[in-house]
Amino acid sequence: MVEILDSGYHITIQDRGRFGFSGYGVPFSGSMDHLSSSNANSILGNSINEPVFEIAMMGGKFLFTEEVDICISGAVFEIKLNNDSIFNNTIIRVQKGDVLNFGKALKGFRIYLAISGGFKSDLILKSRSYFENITLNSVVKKGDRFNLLRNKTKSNNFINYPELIFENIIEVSKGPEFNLINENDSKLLQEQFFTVSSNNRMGYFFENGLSSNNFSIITSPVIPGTIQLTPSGKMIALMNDGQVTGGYPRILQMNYNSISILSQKKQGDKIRFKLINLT
Amino acid sequence: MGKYKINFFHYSQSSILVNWPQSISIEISNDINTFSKALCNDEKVIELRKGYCSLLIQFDSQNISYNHFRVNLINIYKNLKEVNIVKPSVWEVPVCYHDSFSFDMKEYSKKNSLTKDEIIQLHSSKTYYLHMYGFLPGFMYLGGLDSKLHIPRKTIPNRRVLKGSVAVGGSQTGIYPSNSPGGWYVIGNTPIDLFDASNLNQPVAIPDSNYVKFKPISIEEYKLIKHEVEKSEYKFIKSELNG
Repeated sequence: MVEILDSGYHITIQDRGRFGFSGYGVPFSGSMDHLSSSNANSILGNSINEPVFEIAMMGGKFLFTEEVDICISGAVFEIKLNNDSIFNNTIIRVQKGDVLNFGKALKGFRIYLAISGGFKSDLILKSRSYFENITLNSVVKKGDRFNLLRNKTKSNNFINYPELIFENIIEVSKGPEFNLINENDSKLLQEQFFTVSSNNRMGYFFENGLSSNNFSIITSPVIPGTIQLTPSGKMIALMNDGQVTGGYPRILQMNYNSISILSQKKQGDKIRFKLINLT
Repeated sequence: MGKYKINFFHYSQSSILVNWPQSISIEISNDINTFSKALCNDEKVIELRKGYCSLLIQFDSQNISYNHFRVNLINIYKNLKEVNIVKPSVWEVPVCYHDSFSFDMKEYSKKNSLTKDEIIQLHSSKTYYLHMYGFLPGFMYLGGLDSKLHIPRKTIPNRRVLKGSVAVGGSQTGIYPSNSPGGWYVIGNTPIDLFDASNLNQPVAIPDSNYVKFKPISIEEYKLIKHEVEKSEYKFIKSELNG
């Protein structure tokens, strides 16, 4: 069993996501940085859909009541197993009574904790990803206990390049309303750095933007990675828990890897967009 | 045969946006719904998100290219038949407009120069068309609000609108299926549940492309229905659409 001694700033359980229900208004959810959650699972030989703990920004203390292999991947955190330092992207054997203690994120924003063979959590609408009003809890709480499943693992799967998530180039394709923006803004978009002002699992917000506008569109579908332009000229990058429909122009669309890269950015981090064509 | 000139946009690595003529109408929503139903059995389709006049289709890009998939869609739309459409029903949603629920009624009444009774009468006499779900799990986009009831959304949204709140904002009316922040004017509350995450086949109570009608109820009736809902004994009242 693993027990939560301290629930940190924001810890949730995530698998690949909840698919097939967005027609009822249910977002995908799932790991924000799927490259890293896949790595944590793959290194242990778990399925990449095995639920993991997503730990954001700072904090989180886990007690293990039995011996098991674990792996952490994603952001670089201050982290101690009892009194020892441990590292990302390697298999770590924890013993009965060991305490895993997360401090602050030093580089990046989200780290994933996977457990060999998985742990038990509720399956709701075909996914174990936490989401308010779908799952019983929307965050992991102090005192929560999770039984280990010890599912059979395979040999290592494909591992994504772990440094990719620390890049600052966000690859985007043109969104359906890209052509609404003027030439100058289109140039700004591709040349300027944009600074993250805040973020949560629903979206990323930026300090600087484009010129203000009075565009509006009839409410239309959006997906994680859609970048909307608000009337003030500021952009919102919709992430995994974002709404399924929106009324702002969709000017850009991030690709899968860029969603993972952006998920590792925090307030004050700067990113640049690189326009690519979908093939 | 599909009725409209539709166009396609390569939206992401594994999604395609289909656009209908950009206006809000029951005819277009019905056409999107017919098309969606025809796509349900296509194994390359992962899932669908509906807008008023667009459809975003996630497809299995590992096993089919964008161009192939687009050609498939064109053919499916060309051969669209309207034989399998289920006749829509009017679903009665009980609403209590009592002061203990209608938090914004006074302000709304003042801003629109209507009495509370006039508002209830206008709001509950219309039949609304359920275009699609969005915003929150189980949130219905309902079309057909009387223009006398239109009101600009609040500039500062409420941090917490209660589950079941019946509200108006812009040219729309809707029901908050769960507690949520929201910028609409709350004029009542329904005791019924509109979303059930434990129902895998259909987590929403009312299927889209159906109609909704609000029925004013007293606070006593509200309590009674709430009790039935809690014991899973509540039965929806449905009727056929006339004319």
